[in-house]
Parts: sequence; structure tokens; C-alpha cells
Amino acid sequence: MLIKSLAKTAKSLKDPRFTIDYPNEKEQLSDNERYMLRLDMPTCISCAACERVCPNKTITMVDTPTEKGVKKMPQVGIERCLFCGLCQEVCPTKCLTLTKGYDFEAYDKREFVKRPEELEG
Amino acid sequence: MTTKINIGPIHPSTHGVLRLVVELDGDTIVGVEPHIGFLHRGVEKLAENRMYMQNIGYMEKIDYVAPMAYDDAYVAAVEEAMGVEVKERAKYIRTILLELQRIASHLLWLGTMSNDLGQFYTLFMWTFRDRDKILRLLQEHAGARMFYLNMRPGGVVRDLPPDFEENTLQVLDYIEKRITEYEHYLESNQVFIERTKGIGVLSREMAIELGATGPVLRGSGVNYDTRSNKPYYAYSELGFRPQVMFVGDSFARYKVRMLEMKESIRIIREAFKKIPEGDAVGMPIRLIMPQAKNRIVTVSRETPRGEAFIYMIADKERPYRLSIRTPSFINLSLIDEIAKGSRLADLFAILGSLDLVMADVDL
Amino acid sequence: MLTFSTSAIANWLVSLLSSASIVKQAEGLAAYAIGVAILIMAFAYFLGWIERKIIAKVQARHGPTVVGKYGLLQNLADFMKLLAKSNFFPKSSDKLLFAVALPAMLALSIFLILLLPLTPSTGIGNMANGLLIVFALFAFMPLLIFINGIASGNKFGEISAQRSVIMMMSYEIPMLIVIASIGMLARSYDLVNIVESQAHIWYIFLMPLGFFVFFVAMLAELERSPFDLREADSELIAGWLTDVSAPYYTLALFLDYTKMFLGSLIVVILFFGGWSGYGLLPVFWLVVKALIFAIFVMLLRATAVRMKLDRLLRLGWLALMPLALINLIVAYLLFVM
Repeated sequence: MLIKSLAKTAKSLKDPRFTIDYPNEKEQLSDNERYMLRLDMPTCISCAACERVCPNKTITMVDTPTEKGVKKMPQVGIERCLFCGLCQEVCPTKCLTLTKGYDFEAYDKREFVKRPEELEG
Repeated sequence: MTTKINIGPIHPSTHGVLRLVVELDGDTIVGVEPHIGFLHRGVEKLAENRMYMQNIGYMEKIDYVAPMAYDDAYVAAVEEAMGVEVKERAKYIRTILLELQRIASHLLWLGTMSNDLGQFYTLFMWTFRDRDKILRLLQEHAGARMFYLNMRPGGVVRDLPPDFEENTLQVLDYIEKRITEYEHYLESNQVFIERTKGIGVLSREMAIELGATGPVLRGSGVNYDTRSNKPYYAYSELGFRPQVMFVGDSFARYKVRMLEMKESIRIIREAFKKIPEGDAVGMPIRLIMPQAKNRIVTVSRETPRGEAFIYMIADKERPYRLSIRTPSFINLSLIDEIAKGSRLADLFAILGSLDLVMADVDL
Repeated sequence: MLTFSTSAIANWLVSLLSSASIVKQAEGLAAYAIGVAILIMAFAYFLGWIERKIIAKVQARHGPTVVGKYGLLQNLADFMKLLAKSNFFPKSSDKLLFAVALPAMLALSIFLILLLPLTPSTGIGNMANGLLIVFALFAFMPLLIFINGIASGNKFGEISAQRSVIMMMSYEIPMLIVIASIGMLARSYDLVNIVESQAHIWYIFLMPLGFFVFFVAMLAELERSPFDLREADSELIAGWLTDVSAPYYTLALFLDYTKMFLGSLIVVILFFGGWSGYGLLPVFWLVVKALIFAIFVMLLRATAVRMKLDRLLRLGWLALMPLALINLIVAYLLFVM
């Protein structure tokens, strides 16, 4: 009754393992992945298109000191972000992009509100 | 003398948060009353305050097992409201991606159903390994493993990567072998046959009268499938045939889904042979999109769980009212009729064969 | 070293009442018992590690890898975490019975392993009726599960306790009939004699039908798949273990592997020749054969779908009992007459 299934189970003992031993091995991702945000501060023109298109109202424009004075730049709350990529698609100068870095851990919840300086690189 | 047992919202086998109040007479079920609403997130109300393209992030999270199906249904509704035609190559690409999504969803169903029947996660891990290969294919194209957001009005967000066809055909060969192995694995087990044959019978008349949909309807002998009765995209050119079984018990519903997986593999191979060249990229998202021309829009799509129906009243920039009829809600209401007269241990086999996703029920 | 028989027990009791060597004999016995019990617990812990790694390999994943080298200390970490949690009894439960049932089951399993002869010369169990005594005590296990289920005071526990009594009634009887046929073949009930009369050919080749019946009945008694109805973990949440709080749950987890070790040892002693083998120490052969049998039971757990209660009862009464009787008659006709 169970002989065929048992034979199959015993044969599967020699199959390779499929799970990865994170964090010793990591996954290889393609280039159009939508994970951590990245802001290229010199190129941002403060148009606030990303703030208007975000469905969750996650992005807010805050005062940021730069070399040319105080400008308004996007601040992102990573906890609320859907990682949908609409802000990346709407940005006219392509300065706000989503990269493929998926390791962001913190002990404190308040570290997840990323100011524009922290979104660099 | 009947007792009432509460199979509470937190339970290993109810696929989410579902509360069932079961009335038992000894070991026989006399009545089942489902209480739902633990996962209600107000998607229909949220949609009224956002513009058309800001909504796709919410639509995908209605069914988290097969997200592309609702993504596609909503974008098709927006296309019809704006009066935009889908490009030719994009129709074939959407067909291929939707059928891949269907295979992935049925593989997850197979794993969780055998888990409910008592098998100790072995088949669950194997089907997840196969589903992971499909998700990796879709990740190359769309950019994420689960919440794709790759449908735009008029086409898809970007064209397929150059080695997509070769990778897909390799994965399909592998999955076809594995599906046959899983069928033999389960059907040579006498205990599985006894736990699914003759259990949870839904007759043809009751299925039509109570409004069953999807594989539940086709397992009871009714030849109705949205892909062949109200065809869309490239299904009519690829020769799609619905799979029907005539007995109406849990084994028939299981068999319908296995046959559907094989039919999906065949359709994907056909589509790769007939796909035309050209442009497939749809409208990019901007802050000012074309305004809606039609007022009332209806769209029917076949998700892996059944027929999803969207009814939208469209304002110029945002929907005035968005109403979604999800298949799992209707299939859950059949449980009282199906489960009367069986034992308590059969209840979980029946729930497993109905393939419910609780986010789909509560919307 | 320590060999007992019924007259020897009588002599021992007489000498107990009349001499000063009581303390020495009792000390020797206690030291033996405690030492072997610690070894048995270590081996049951090792079986737990093997189960997790083998089931993980079948399912194409790593098992425990972080705690200790190759995850050897993972079970120890789990037990320590569970023992440190708070203990409480539900209000509607019978506190005395609830507190006593699980430790009693663990003590009973270890005591039964102590009774089995592990090598030709040691073992408390060189009694003339060893086989009957072991199985008489083995029948207490489902009873203790029943007590725990009834004393827990909620509906899931009661349903599970009823199922345990029903299963015990159906599966003990074929097991006892097979034991009778083994005693008939070996012409004694002494466990050492049974092992030594398998020196030429093992009993599994003489009575394959009896082995099948005994194996199925032993799986049902040990609560392993496909018969794990008593703690069907996707139906009744956890059956008789639903309301058991964390320190007692440790005992229940440890009990699972101890009972599996006990069952494997019994099957190996009765059917596979016990400690017979060439070259190395006899106890080594016994343990290796028990390990192979335990691995087979683990693979069965990874494969099988759980049976329903009515099919279980039909299997016990309508399939196993006639097969056991046929086995008895055939063995009598072929080997005794």
C-alpha cells in the first residue's frame, strides 16, 4: 500500500537541499528588483512628484541642508512603504531609485524613518 | 443531543483566520456556521480616495497566493474605462504570465491540502520547491517575487528578458515530471483515496443553484469556465479547453486542479510558438494620466480560485465605486451544504479541497 | 551477575529479611538501574536529533545547524527553554491526576527498557516470564494517556482520551496473539531464551505475517504516523496535550523518542535476533539494529497520510486479528508439530 511512496521518499534522501543557509549564503537577484530606496541628492529638483503619487502617503518632503542652501527632499518611512516602485517611475530626473539591497535591520523602530541623507548610496 | 464546537480563528488548518462553529451529533456534523471578517482591510473604500494607478498596490494584496490575477483584472477595468486597447504582443505575454501564476497557485494548494490530511509537510516542501522555480522566472521579468505590479494600461511594464523563453521551457519540463510524480505519490496511497473519494459531495443542481465557481463548479460536472465562455486575451486562439469531472466529491476537485495544471503547461508552450513580434510596453505612470471616458465598467476574469468580477463606476480621475466579487467568498458559503452528514475529520479535507484564501473572502 | 528467577526471588526476599547484605545488593541494583537509565535517556535524545535531520533531508532542507556542531544541542536548548516557563493547571482540570500522568509515563517507559535484556549476561529481566511481564506493563501506556486526557477538562482532551481507549482495545489483542505464537516457537517466555533460539535463523523469516501484524500494532501503540490520531495536529489542535503547560510538554516530547526506542528494541529482540552478530560487542549489534528500525519508522512518518478512526478500527478488527490467528495456526502446524 505504501511501498511506492516509501520508495520515493527513500530515493529523495539523495536530492540536494533547496534552502539556503542565510546569512552564510545569499540569494542572487536581477537588476530590476524593487527593494531599498536610494536617493541621488545632487540631482533632486524638489518637485514632490514622489510625494503626490505615493498611495500610502509614506514620502514626506523635509528640509535638508545641502551645498546650495536648504532644499526640500523626500524622507521615506520604510515601515509603511509598499515597495511598489511608483515613485521611481514618476521621478522626472530619475534620482529616486529602488535598488536590490534587502538587508535592512534595526533594533529600534524609529531608525526606519530614513532621512534623505541616509538614503544616499 | 448536539454539542457545538468552536474551531477558532487561530487554528493550524483553516488557511488563515476563519472561525467555524460546528454543531456535532456524536462524530457526525449537523451544521457548520462560518464567521468571517477577521482580515477585512477595506480595499473597496480605500480605492475611492486614490487615483487609478495608485490603486494597483492594493488590488494585488487581495489574493496573496496569485496576485497577478487581480492586478490584471483591475488594470483591464481601467483600460476599459479609459478606452485603451491592449497591444497584440502584450496579449500573449499576459496569457503566459497568468498561466504561470495559475500553476504556482495550484502547487501551493496541493502542498497545503496534503498538509491538512495529515502528511507531515513532505509534499508541502516539495511543491514549494517547484513553485520557487516559477517565482524566480517571474522575478526576472517583474522585479519582485510576490507583488508584481507589472501590468500597465495597454501592455506590461517592460518586455520579457531575452532568455525568458528558454528558461521557462526548461522549468516547464521539470514541473511536468514532478506533477506526474505527485499524482502517483498520492493516488497509490490507499488512505488518501479513502479520505477523498465520496467525501463532500456537491451535486450538479446545488452547485448551480448556490453559485459555486471555479474548480469547485467544474468538479461537479458543469462545463463553465470564464476563459472559454467569455474569452479574453489569447485564449481562443490557443485552443483552450476546460477540464471537467463529473462526481462532485473532493477527489474530483483535486483531479480538476491537477488536470488544469497540465492544460496550463500546454497553453504556455503553444503561446511561445505563436507569439508575435512588436512592442508590448504599456503606458508609463505619470501624475497626469488620460481621463476616463466610460462611466460603468465590468470585467470578468478567471483567477485560480474561480471567477472574479469587477464592477466599477468611473469618475474622471479616480473610481467613484469599485465593487469586487471574489470567488472564495461564494465557495465558503457552500460549506454548510457540503459538510452535512460527514464526520469531523472530513471537515478539514473538504476545506482543503475548496481552496480558500481568507484575504479573498474578507476582501 | 544479577540473574533472577522465581525461586531466586523467594530466596532473595528471605535473605532480605535475615541478613546484612541487603544494602549491598540494593546498592548494586540501584547503581545499575541509574547508570543504564542515563544511557537510555542519552540515546533517546540522540534519536531525536536523527529524526530532525533525516526528515529535513527528505524534505530538501537543512535541519538544525546553528546550536552546537551540526545542531546536536538543539533539542537540549528546546527542553531548557520549555522547562523555564511557568506552569499552571486549568481551573476545570483534576490537578492531582494531571500532574502525575506524564511523569508516570516517562518512568514506565524507562523502567520497561531496563527490564529488557541488553546483553546476554546483564539485565534485570532474566525472569522466566519476561515477555509477559513486559507486555503487561506496556498496556498501561494508553491508560495513562486516557487519564491525562480526561483530567485535562476540555473537549479536545476528552475526545482524544476516548480515541485512545478505543485504539488500545483494537490493537492490543492482535499483538498478544503474535506474542503467544513467538512464545510457542521459542518454547519459553524468557527473553534471553527467545534471542538465543534465533541464533540460526531470525523469526522474521519464519513468521513474516506475524511481523507485519506486530509492526502495525506497535506503530499504533507508539502514536506514530499513519496512526497519530491521538494528537492529530491539524484536527484537534493537540488532543490530549492541548492544555499541558510547558514543563510537562518537555516530558511529552522526550517521551515520544523514548517510546520509539522502546518499541524498536522490542521488535529487534523478538524478530531480528537481538544481539546476534559477528565480531563486535553484542550490545552494539542490538543498538544498530534498533537504530535502523527507528529510521524506517521515521521515513514512514514523512510519507504517510493520517487514517481516520473508522478505518483504523476496521483495520484492527477485520484485518489484523484474522491475520494474527492465521499466523498462529500456521506456525503451530509448521514448526511445532
